[in-house]
Amino acid sequence: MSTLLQEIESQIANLKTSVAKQNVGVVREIGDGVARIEGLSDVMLNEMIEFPGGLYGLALNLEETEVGAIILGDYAHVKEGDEVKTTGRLLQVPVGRPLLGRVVNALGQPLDGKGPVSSKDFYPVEKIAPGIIKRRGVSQPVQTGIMAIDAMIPIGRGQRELIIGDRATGKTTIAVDTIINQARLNRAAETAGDRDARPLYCIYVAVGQKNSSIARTIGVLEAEGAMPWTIIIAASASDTATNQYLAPFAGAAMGEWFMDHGMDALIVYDDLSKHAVAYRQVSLLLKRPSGREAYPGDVFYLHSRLLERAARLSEKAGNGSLTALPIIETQAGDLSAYIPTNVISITDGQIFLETDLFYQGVRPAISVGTSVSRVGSAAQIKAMKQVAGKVKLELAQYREMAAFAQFGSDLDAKTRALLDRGQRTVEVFKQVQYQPQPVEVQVLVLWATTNGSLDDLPVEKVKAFQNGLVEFAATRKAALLEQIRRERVLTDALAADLKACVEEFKAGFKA
Amino acid sequence: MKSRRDSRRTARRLLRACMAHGQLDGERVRRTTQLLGARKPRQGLAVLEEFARLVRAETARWKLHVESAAPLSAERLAEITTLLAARARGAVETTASVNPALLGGLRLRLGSDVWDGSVAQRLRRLGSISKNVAPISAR
Repeated sequence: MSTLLQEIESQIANLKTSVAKQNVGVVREIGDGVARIEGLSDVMLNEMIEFPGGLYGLALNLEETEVGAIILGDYAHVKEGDEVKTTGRLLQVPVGRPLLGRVVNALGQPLDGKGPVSSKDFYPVEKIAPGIIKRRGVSQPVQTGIMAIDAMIPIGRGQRELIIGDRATGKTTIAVDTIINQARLNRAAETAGDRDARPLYCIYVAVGQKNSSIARTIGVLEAEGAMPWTIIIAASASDTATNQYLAPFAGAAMGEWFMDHGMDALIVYDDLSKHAVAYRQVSLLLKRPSGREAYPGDVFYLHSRLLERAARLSEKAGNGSLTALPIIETQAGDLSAYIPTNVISITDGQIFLETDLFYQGVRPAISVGTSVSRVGSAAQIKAMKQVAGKVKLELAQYREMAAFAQFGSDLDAKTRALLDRGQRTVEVFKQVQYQPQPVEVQVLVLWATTNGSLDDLPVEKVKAFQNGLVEFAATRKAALLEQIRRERVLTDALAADLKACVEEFKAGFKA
Repeated sequence: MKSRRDSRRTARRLLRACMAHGQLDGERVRRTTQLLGARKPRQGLAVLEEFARLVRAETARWKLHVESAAPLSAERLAEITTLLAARARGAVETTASVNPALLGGLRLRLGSDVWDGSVAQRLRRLGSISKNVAPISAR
């Protein structure tokens, strides 16, 4: 009760200092969610400003006599001559665990009808990325569950890996598969009571997508039970350009909370091409000078400051991490367009998806030659390194050789063997969507592939063999899989067990 | 784009030339406008428009508007003007109006700064405070 009285007394004291000083301006022009305001001499960049009726805006352009601001909300009733006030606050969004399992907009307001978000912490939307001293190298893997990625283009916690490709080539599917796999791993660790496990929380930011596409993604994540570890930020195509521009930054702020609290988080920006378009729209309305393809000059800075916020922090800084998977949509496979080249140069590698491969039935349609992870095998468990070390090179050689082999029938034995192995490896890497594979299963299958166990099988039987082997191991050799998962390295004894397992299954498969 | 930038730059230069002791000199502004009208330089209209905008923004900085719930005496208004002019370090142009919605007290606006000492503002603040104070049962 005494604290309550103190609080009331302090409020009375505040009221006694009766004059409130404010900095105000007047709306001179309003349209398309952008207002030009005269006055506001003390306004800060990115400060929230208050319009009549409790509506807020964000000051983005500070000019000599005017301020350009974007309005966050329904601007239909804002009119010329309205008074606008500074607030002294930067734009903030709610962060923390209460957001898990929720679908929110760019301002962190719920869209899922599950009531208000009960978050007590708030983070500024724009924040400077962690510096060099606070960071450390990427060494822990993010298991995507997609064999082609985990084997050839491994992603580490704190890395920024771009997913790039034409429309409808399976970009979102890769991101969704990764989220589903994290949920499975998190659930398995929770069930097993594994205290050393580090759950990976996921944030999916949908920018400029159709509402139906977002609903479908939410539906898949709900059906696969991934929502308890996932936050979805939706700024659909029907949202204002302002919200589409802010959504990735809001997502990054939510991810940073996990990172700052010593946890690991993964953020998917789906997609940054539409984000750049939304920013171009805002910039043109603010009358900023336009550059190449009418994008403003700071479109590179827009994406670099966003993606720099992904990091792996040192032990001293809490050991948290934020991994970013930005998505870029190309036009007719053109990697050299403005936004794709920008984001390629910012990220630590890219997964390039090809339309041709997609329609040939190679799904995920990953182009091995142009895809790369600059973190390399540092983000792989040792067992995976042992079995998948040469796969990428062999597959790249196969793709090159396959093009030549179309023209000639006389091939030497070595080339023939390379082509045969390549065909089988491609078959092995084909994977049904929303069915991520555990790492121990991947190790088993890749061991069988790289050690020639599939070489004498007809190509069309490879997938059946793979599925059968996985089922056989899961039901009859569960201890072996568990041992691979636990030890994370292939010892001689373990390799011998793997050999025995594959041979036993093969004998049955042939019969 | 370049011509717009040039006319802005010219207008800014003209504005600087019209300043005396940190404030706009009315006579200089008048003469500048007349000269621009008479000589008709290249981009003259754009320069004049930009110049008008700058002059409007500059004069707004020195405009003091006093709002009160009841009419103020001339002496009281003069006292407020002197006080604010000393604070702004320059001559201010004062206007006054009566706004019964203030309920009591004064609301002063100088440039883009507002000092609100009205009863209505205090009630608004009290309202927002009472909204934020959690009920005793929730503590």
